[in-house]
Amino acid sequence: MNKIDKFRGLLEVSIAEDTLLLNSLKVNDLFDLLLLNKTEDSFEFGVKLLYRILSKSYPDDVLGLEGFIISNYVDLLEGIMIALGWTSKKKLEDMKKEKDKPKEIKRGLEALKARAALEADTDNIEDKYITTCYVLMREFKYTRDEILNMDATVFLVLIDEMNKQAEKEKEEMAKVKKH
Amino acid sequence: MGSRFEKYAKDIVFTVDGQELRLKRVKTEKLQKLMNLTKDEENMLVNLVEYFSDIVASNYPEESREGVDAFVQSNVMTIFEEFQIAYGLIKRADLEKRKAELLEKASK
Repeated sequence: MNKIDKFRGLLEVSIAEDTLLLNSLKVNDLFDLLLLNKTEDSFEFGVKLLYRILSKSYPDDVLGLEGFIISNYVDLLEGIMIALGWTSKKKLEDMKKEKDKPKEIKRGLEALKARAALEADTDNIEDKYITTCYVLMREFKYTRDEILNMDATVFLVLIDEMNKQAEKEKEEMAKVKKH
Repeated sequence: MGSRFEKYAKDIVFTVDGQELRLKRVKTEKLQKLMNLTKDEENMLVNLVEYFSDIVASNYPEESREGVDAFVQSNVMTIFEEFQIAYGLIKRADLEKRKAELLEKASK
């Protein structure tokens, strides 16, 4: 994936020796992903959410899609979280090593539920996203629906740019103060 | 051309006590139900037998319900494990590792 793909709303996720290109992830989906660890029936919610996301990117391949998601549930969530920059492969591996320490041994399904969505600092990410939404509404006059339907990658680029801008302003202010 | 994910639409198949079981895939809601009923540790065995008896009976309508119940009752933990493996919810190697760890913990 080249640098410009970021602006075309493409998100690359590697799963089971395969690479999926998600091309229609929206801001709305980001907020639903963040909701995952606050949902009681999180597996069902997560599978349905991933189905919605993947079926938009692969509309001709829906046969077996639900089975694919169920079989690769944790890997898909982790792959998406890494692609979104919520966590890193190394961080996830470190957490898994920590969890694998045999202090409490969980059954398969229990372990599955405990992983994935819970492993990123979702509260902080959610705060950042909400703040960005408010800035976009206030400064750029976007409506709520326009933001929720915005390509997720465009939204992430905007956050990046706004952070850079804020840093730049901070540096300039520091320079002014020095003088 | 077929769907990229076609192989995941096939029935799940596994062997329990020499018997091959071929089961139609259940809906995600039903898998969530399985996850929820494992929370109730006290009644887990009863719940699992009921859950899997329903699934096996609906896939083998020609078999008597008593026969299905007895088969599931005798093999419920194997069915539970093989079901999770067949769905890709857990890898066999991980399950074996966990079982070994549990045994080690119990022997201490």
